Amino acid sequence: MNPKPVKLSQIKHHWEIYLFILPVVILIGLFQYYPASSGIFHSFFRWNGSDISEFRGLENYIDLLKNTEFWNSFKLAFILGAWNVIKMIPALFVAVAIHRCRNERMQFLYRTLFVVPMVIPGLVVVLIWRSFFFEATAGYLNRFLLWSGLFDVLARLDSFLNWGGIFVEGRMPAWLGDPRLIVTACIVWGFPWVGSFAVLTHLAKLQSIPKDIYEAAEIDGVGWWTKFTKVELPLIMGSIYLLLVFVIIDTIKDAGMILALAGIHGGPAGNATVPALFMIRKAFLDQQMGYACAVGIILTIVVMILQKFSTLVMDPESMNARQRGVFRGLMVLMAAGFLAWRYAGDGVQNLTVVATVLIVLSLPYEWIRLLWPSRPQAIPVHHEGSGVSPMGESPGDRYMRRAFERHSDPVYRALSAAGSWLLRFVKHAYVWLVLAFAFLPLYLMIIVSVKNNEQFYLAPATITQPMFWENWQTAWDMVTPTVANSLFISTSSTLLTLGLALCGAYFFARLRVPASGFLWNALLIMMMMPAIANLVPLFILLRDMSLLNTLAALIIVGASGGQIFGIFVLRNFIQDTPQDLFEAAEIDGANHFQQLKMIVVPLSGPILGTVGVMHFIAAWNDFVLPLIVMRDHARLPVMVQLLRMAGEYIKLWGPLMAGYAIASIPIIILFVFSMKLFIKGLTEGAVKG
Amino acid sequence: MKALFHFIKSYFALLMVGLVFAWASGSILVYRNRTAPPGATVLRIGHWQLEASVRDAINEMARRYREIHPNVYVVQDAIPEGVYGQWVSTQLLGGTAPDIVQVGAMLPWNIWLSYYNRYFIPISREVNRANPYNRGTELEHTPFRQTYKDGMRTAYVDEMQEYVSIPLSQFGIRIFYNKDLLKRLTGLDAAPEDYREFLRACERIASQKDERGNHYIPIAGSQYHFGMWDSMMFDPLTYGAVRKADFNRDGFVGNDELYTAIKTGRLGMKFPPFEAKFRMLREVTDHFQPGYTGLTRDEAVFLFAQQKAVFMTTGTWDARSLQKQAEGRFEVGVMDFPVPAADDDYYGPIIEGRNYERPGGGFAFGITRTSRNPELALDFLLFMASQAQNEELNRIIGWIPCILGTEMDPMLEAFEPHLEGIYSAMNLWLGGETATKWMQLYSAYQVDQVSYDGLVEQFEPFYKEQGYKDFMEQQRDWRRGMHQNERFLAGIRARALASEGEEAESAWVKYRALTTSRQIWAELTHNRQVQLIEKGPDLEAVGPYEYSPAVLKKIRERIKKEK
Repeated sequence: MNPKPVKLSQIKHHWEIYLFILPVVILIGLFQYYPASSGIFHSFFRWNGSDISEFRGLENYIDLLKNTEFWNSFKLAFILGAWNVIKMIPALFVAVAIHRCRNERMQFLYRTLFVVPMVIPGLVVVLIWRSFFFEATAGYLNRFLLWSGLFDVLARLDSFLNWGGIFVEGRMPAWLGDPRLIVTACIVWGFPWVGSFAVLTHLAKLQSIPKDIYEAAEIDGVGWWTKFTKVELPLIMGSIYLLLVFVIIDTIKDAGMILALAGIHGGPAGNATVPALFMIRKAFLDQQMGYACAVGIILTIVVMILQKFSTLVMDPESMNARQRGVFRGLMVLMAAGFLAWRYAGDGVQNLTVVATVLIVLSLPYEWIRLLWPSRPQAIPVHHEGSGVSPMGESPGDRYMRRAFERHSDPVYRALSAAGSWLLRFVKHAYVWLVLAFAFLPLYLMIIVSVKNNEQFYLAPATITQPMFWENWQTAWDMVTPTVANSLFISTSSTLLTLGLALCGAYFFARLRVPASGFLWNALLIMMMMPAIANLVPLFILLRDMSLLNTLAALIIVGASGGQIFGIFVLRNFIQDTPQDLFEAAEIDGANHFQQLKMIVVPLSGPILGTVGVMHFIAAWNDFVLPLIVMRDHARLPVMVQLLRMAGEYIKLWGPLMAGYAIASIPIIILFVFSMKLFIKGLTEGAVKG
Repeated sequence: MKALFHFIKSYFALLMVGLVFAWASGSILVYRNRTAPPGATVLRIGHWQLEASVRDAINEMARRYREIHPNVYVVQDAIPEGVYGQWVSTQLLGGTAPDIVQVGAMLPWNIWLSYYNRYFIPISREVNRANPYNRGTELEHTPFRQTYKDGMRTAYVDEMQEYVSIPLSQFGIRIFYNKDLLKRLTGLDAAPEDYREFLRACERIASQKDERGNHYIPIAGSQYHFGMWDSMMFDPLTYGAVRKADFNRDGFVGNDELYTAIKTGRLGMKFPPFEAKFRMLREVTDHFQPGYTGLTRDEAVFLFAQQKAVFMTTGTWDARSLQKQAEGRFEVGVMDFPVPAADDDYYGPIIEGRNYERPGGGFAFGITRTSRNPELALDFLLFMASQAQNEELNRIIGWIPCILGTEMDPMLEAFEPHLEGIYSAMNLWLGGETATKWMQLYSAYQVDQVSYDGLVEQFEPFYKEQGYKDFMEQQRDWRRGMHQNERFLAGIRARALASEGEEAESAWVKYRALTTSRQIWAELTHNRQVQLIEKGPDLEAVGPYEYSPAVLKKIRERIKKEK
């Protein structure tokens, strides 16, 4: 249903609907728009966030454009983004493999097994990779390379391709210490790259494919690969596109994982500096807040362009030919400007790359779409007018006859059975292999959590005796207050988000009142704006509101950002609810609050569950904002505490790992209990492809 | 009952959420009350010393202090080194900084300087009074700053002309070595003092294998340890730059002076002492374990403790823990950093002596302007810096006390500072873009990703060009300090005008002396630097301790005549 239009003269009958959007407007205005506009304002100043504020005009931007490190950070973000797209493939295959399981119990088992290791907080996985896999002298990655003989291959390649001695016999590569390897480390971590959200989204989409299509395909003798490429892939393309956009944009605006992996200086030689990390460093180490604001603005512009580009690739019809022409012309002009600047001898090196990217972006998107098959054509179709063969048999009939003949052949049947068995074996083997890798961090976490340091150094990956269960008690004492803080923050923020988002979504979905279009567009812009870009002015705002070092700051800021996505999802859901229900309620005299309570809330359980789970996890895993705004140990969320524990001089590995495990348990429990609801919500359209 | 069961089943998820929320809220309240009882005065102290013994020692000090001030509770915020810079910046900027903050490292000096100006309370007046907690000792009537072994010199900020921090310990850095392993692998009974001998010993160690067939590592290193080698062994080679860049003739080359010298062409990165530093760096770090730049402090300590490496540098802060780890397994020796001999072909003409070590204190704390109890914060610091408590504090930690008349662990005697020597004259850290660029290229050089020529080629033009902005930023920071100083001077002048007799005389003397030293000379120095830079390269110019060709000619002629 479309929102019912309400004219200005009718507004007196519906004025209370504005109350639904009022808290949303206040929160978004205060914690999103104000920092954003303050950021734009201060980006023109030499500002240290305190007593220095001198107008510089465009100098911050000019300096930025000349800054090689800034361009390198974008280059790295694009490299990581491209790799993250490639890393989506294992999750897709895992989802398909699970979906293809005919045995429902097996499917459930896989789903459950996958969820457990995959919902370990990303920060914990990063810290485990940092300590166990990338460690130079005895890390698992180097051990694996040596054991598998890959190291020798790499050493030969190194000498043949002149990599400069990264892999040299008798010298273990330092993945996090060598400027030449740090980017590779940023790509490799988290192998096999199977994220729970991606798998569950794909699964939900796959489960929504009607069984008739599969049955028809099987009757037609379609093979497993054709089934994937011609049936499943095109039908879940929507969710793949959506994840693709999320992945690219998240990579561009993310700083947290790189910060945890490589440190605030971006690792050796700063080679792992992404734009957001560059911004944080400028703001909170170099005290160049105005400059950092300019970085945030450019980051926002890049993310918006990327988002627009993704939308155009997915739906080129959303712009008319003229708009597309203007858009492309602008990009070509910018590219020409950069090239002219570059070759005018101003010493800016990397703008050629930017110009090239802009030129590629300005190409007609239809070309890109042409590369992608838009319609599955798995089986030969007899088209009218195509004529019949000289034998008097149509192509469709001939195909069916041959298929029937093949299936009558006992050798073919035997081979087909063997092939089918082999495929099943490969499918299960693949799932178990990925599972083994996915469980490895969890296994290490548990094993090491009952060791003392000596046992850890001697045998880090195997069970040793005696077991030091008291490590768990120590860890419990260390992380309990922070776990309680995180639970408090995540739960409060989630409840607040759901409440606000539901009211906001109702406002946008039910009626088209004056200003609702404006507010919706304002909301959409916020969806595109990376939150981290506003970090600096947000920090100043929180300071001015005396909210620094309070749990309230994390709850309110979390909810103000989270509700935007919530409104977007819930609005679609409410719009799909039959209009008759609302009309009947209105006839019965129900006001908007009653309609929301009696109609929307009871129907939106699964979708609220999905949005709630997603927000809870995001709030639980967030550590960049708390790292900046919190001081007292008693108020820290658990992720910041883990980061601090990992920074101890002499690490007590047992309690540290037990602490990681304790920090993961709430999320694992949450997912195990809510998985069914979550998938139902996804299937019902929480993430519309 | 059935209805209750049905209710629980229907609302299980919500009930769980409610229970969890209730537990979380309860825990938060309980934990906060446990930190300090309601109504108590809380003093927060932020530091980066994550050694357990430091936290224990401060807790012990807090306990003792509470015996005198029962309502005062001290809460520690111990932050890892890696994020301390960012943490302290955000806390100071946000006005939420603890009452007492550890200062002086983890951020570039220019940033600390700007923080001292904005966020810390100067304590110059207080350091000239006696420490009340020294009552009953020989230091009872001694001004606080003179109760320090170094006269509290390290706490004095030249640029501000103020004391802003109170140090609590004294540090030294030496090389620790495994005596048994050194003897077994090289036959040497004592550690080599000569640089070349040291390198030869390293080569012998590296050529031998342990029982598992792995090569021994001569030096256990990490990024953390590299900094010590750099400052203690490589940096002193650059001392020669003093003659060309010490414009204010104070014996040191500040980062502003070095920039002025390089910008005006008096010095270049190819200056032989600078090149020598980089050559020595390469020679020594070749004996570190591979990938040391990616290792953490404890990983290097582990290698040493497991007898896989022979040498490791560290400071007094690790001495006790290393002794403990070696107990009953091997003997730990402490040696000085080896120095090239005067007749060394390459380093001989360049090296001018051993690294000078300030006998000053570290582990220094400042009081923030946002502190709700600045007097109490100062009082607690004075308590920890009193003779008896400072000895106890450092005894618990295992560090060297910095107050006169205190006793220290005999093991730490090898760390007594060298009071004669030279120091680094290659401070390229101007902050901002140049600092980032330097850090990147320097770490690339450490892993041999760039040669020294390549480093110079990439850095020097950038430093000259982009460094101007950072240099000027530093000048602005200095000028802000001058404004504060003017207010301080105005106070003294007002006192001089308002008083009579000897008091007025004394105030006028102080006013004139401070105006000359803090305002006029500083202004002249800075203006001269800016002028030099703005005039551009002057390749004919000579350094402050050098004779110009014309003067040299005159001298030669005069000597000839005299002969």
